[in-house]
Amino acid sequence: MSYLARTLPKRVPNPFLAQSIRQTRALSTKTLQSTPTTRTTQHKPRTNQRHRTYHSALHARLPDHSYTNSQTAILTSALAHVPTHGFSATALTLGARDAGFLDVSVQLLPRGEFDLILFWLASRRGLLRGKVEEGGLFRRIAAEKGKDVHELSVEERVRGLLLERLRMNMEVKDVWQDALAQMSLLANIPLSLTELHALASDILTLSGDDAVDATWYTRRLAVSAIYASAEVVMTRDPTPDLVETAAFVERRFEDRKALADKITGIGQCAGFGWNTAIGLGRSWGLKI
Amino acid sequence: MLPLPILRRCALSHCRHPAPATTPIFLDFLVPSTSKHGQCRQASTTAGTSGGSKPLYVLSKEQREFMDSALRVNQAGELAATLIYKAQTPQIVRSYPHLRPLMKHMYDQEAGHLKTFNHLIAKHQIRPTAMYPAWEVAATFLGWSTAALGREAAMACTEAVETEIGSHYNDQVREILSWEADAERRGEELDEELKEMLATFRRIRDEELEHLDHAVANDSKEAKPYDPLVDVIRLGCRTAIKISEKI
Repeated sequence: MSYLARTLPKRVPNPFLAQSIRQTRALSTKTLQSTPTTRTTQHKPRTNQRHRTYHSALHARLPDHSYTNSQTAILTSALAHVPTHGFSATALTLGARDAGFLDVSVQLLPRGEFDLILFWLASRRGLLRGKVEEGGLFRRIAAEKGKDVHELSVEERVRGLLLERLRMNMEVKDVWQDALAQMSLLANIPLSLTELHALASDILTLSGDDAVDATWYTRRLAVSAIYASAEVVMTRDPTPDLVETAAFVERRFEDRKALADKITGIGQCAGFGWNTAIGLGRSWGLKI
Repeated sequence: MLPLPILRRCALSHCRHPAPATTPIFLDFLVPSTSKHGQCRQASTTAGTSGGSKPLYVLSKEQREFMDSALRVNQAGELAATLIYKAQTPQIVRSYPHLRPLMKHMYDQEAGHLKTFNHLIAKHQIRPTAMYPAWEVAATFLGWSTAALGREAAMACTEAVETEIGSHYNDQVREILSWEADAERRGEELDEELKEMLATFRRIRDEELEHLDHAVANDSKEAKPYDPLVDVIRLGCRTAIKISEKI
């Protein structure tokens, strides 16, 4: 701890930011316990590629990303500058300055702006989890529909969470296209997709989805696709409370349902035909 | 009496204030209280168990990954076993009606195991195997084709599969027992879920080996090309286990 006290700036970060980050459960900072050795290599924020492992209520959740304290400090204060300066090097520099670091310490983040984007995504995901775990979010969604919390179906919960996550992007709506462009760069695609999958997975798990067969994959794919396309729509949505985006999401869920029904129908029909053929063959005395 | 609360408040506020000032605030909220467990095992003492006396054994990342792949493989294995018996039953029962109760008994047990693992997979948020549809087709084909070869071949298939599955469960039980020994050495204890899972694995292993005995009792050794058949099926099982562990 004495090392931390020495390396970290004395000033207390913006209280508003503290509020907004309080529940970022998906993130963690590395606690440096041993005496520090001089490090020559850059420390890339590590991402667990195997996002989801054995989870138990009796064991703590493993963090998906790990940042060092300085990285967290810089990124946290840089987020405050994102609405005005975008996910840019300027925001990072201003954030570093705010946190009491030299401008050059931006180099602690080897991926640069992309690290800022990832931090944004991961922390918003953590916030979403926090909102659900406090219990207020589903109650609000249920109240909007005029239902009791327990009457909400998994589908409605997924829809509500997805919209809630989109609304979290409101403040960065104008700069989000740049972020999307950054994420679609070839080198950044794997991490972006990992994060997208993590979000879809979190949304489904929090909604109480308990698929244990191939639908596990199709559901995550569907939620990811809907979220990714809704994000693009959101950047061009002029309405104040993302009404158009909400309508878009609603339509996509209808589409998904229609498609799923069709596929299930075809599968049932094929299964029925197959079983009939087998049964007919057996009744004729074929050894099948 | 009046100054007492004031005094206390002063003392309290005095105590409370310096603490946050010395520790940087963002550390408090960015390190989730939960993630500190990994760094220091002692922090997890008395994490709300019924036993209460001993601290809880904290699973490392490797151990979690082991549980992750173990449960995934077990679910896939039970799915395959269920489908094999389901595909075998009509043909076997048609030629040998006296085997109906045995086939039903084995199928029911496998269906029970599958239900257990489906529940565990959902509870522990484990990704099911991506080969799910492939295993469904493969297992049905295996069951159907061995039954078409006759009762002995079908029983030889059961023997091969249950041998592999039985030893696989045995490995898992051994691994969890080694954790238990490790916990013992540290003066900690496994959590309730793991203990329960250990008991479940043992019970299921014994039931699988019981199926093996039934198969041998029903002339599995009489299958005509015995060695090639059993070897191929066992190799297939091992490959499927390896694949399901990863994806």
